[in-house]
Amino acid sequence: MVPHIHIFGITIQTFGIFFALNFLAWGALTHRRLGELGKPTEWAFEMVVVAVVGGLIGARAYYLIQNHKAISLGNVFSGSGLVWYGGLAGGVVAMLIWAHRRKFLGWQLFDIAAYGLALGYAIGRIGCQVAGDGDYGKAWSGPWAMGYEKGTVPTAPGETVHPTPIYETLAMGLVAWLLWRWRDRFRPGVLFAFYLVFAGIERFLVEFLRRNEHVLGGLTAAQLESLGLLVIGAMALVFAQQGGGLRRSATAAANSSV
Amino acid sequence: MLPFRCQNRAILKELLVLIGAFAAGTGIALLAGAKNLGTGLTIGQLTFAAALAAVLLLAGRRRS
Repeated sequence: MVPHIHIFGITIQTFGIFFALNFLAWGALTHRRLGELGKPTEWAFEMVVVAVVGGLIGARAYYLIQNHKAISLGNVFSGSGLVWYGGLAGGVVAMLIWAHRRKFLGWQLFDIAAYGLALGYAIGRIGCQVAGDGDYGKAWSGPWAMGYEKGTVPTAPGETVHPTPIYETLAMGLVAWLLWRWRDRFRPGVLFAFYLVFAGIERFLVEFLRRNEHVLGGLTAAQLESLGLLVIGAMALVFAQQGGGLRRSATAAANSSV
Repeated sequence: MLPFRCQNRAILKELLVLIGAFAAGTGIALLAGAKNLGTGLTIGQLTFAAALAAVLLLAGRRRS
């Protein structure tokens, strides 16, 4: 594992590199989609900046809330400790404020976020894998089990575990691809509902292989949060189906770019 | 909209690119002396993500 690299005397965290790449990829995808929708493509840059700032604040705040007993005032601004669901919440709030100011607050915005979030998650998990930041799985000795002895959260010497960040990149990468392919197939908002369902299922299942603490009924906090996403997404799909169907009208589909 | 058969071919092609990138990255890493299969899969994870970004950003551009 390579938690950090040194370039011209500067130490760079590999997790940070993939964190940045995830936003770059999302920005590029958003740029393309805004162009397809006939919106100003320069909004992509604004959206990325807003999402980065909101996401970082949310991810850090959630970590601090979860670990408030073990954290002193001095390490509130330390470099470690970001929680995905906190980042998601912070990013969503920041994006909603931005969209309201730009008068772009609607289901199209959520759909743009859907494949962006899935792609970002897939890329971000590479950072977790390369840095060995503790997001790996339980002890295991199967064919592709591996140790993270040099990771930022190292495994015990000789211990091998499930490389769950690899599973997550593959799963959410395929979700991002599927949602992108479906971008003109469904009514606005449906894609985001599908994202909630897929992301919920993925995280719920992978948690069975991870080392997180059980908090309720043998489930981890992330599993309970995933169930929440899954239920909200499924309910949104049911309501959309009852309120006129999931698919876009033939006219709207014919006017789409792909 | 593309005809159904063309769409199916495009879907298959993109899936093959993604799977191929993952397999190629893993295979090359193992041939280059990766410590174990998990390390090889990590390189496959990288090539998969690069291929995914390329597919999402470039595929279908000529049609749009």
